[in-house]
Amino acid sequence: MSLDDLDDLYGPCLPLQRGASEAELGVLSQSMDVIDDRTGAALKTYMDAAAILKFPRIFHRTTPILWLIDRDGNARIALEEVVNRDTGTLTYILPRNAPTMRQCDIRLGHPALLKPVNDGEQKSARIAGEIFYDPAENSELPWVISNNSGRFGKRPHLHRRHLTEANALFAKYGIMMREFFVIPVPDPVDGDKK
Amino acid sequence: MMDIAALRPSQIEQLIANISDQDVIDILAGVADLLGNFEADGGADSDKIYMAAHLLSMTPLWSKIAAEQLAAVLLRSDVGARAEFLKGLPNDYAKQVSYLMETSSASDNLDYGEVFAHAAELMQSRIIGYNQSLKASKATKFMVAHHYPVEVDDEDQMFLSGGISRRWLVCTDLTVALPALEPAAALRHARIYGASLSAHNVGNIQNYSQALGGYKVFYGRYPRGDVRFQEDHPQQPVVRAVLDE
Repeated sequence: MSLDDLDDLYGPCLPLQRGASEAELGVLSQSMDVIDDRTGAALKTYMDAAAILKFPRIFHRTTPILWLIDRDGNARIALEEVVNRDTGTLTYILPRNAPTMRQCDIRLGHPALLKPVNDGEQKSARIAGEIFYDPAENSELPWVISNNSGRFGKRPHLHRRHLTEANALFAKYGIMMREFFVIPVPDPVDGDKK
Repeated sequence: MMDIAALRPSQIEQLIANISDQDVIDILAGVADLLGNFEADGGADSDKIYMAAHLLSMTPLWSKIAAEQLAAVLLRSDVGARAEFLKGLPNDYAKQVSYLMETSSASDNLDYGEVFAHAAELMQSRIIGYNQSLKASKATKFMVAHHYPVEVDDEDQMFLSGGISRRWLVCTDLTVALPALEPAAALRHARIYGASLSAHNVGNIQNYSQALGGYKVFYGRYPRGDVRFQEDHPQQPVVRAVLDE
């Protein structure tokens, strides 16, 4: 598939919006997997297990699976890791709302799903978001995928169809999720623009 | 209190479909908690704060929360955290909130000699009104709730020195981090001053009205641009609740 095709499906591959911590730029999450036939099948098994096991249901109600579509159109996943600022050692996995971290710890978000870059360089991706176990009354699908990422997921050029295409990429491996599209903040009216 | 940092898509969908007055109260307390526990780190935590505001902005929430109320919550948070939160709000609403925060800071430069002269007059008229209302009730216990954590202020001292002092209990020192959503919690966390009840905290009128199960609530609002009674008083609603009417 050409880069133009990927641009159309998942949005162009652009540097992150807003900022990233030094650690997020210099570290690759240890839990990161690129989804392919082998890992995709394993992820499906893992997520399907939530129908039987309470463990993944409870865990992923509070702790997201971060996902991202990279330049080459691959889906990547990872957990939200907390690492030691000095050593880079993995300390623990962080739920969405965790107790206050120690000064020596730092949380790794979506940029850490991409390989480290040199000083002055930025990490780029097409779209990103979160996956939760989050049953809803209006759907039989208990897992939900969203574009909830301020760095790669919620950008003015991204539309609902881009999230749908990302969801379809997971569906290729039998992973079925409903979608929750985080809409962009309304732009200022013309009179407010300077 | 709603756990804002942990909001899931299904919860946002529910809030989009229907947002109750209690939800509004819980969310406001949750925003205070969020901003009290996360710092803007320029990375993942900044993004969490920003996206939390953004997710809330997908609901009709801000049409139900006066900019003054949110400004009061943000004023008590870390500057960096509040800036991230503001970025996730609708532009016009964010401007209003920012303006209110700025003007609140500007009033620190007021001449307090003039302020207290004016304040005394305002307090006197308000207290006369409250006293008339309270004396007409059969209640024996009352509570005062402010939005801000301070020591007993001038107005409360006037209450204490008044004829109704034995019917009040003074509670203060509540901080923004406390949920303070119901009087029992206020009593557990507050410092007790004698026989009068005055809970200074970050609740709001609806909190107390609902938490008191329909007990009568008296309240007044310092009008915008009005004086501040002490340095750390933002212009916030004051709630007076009759506990056992």
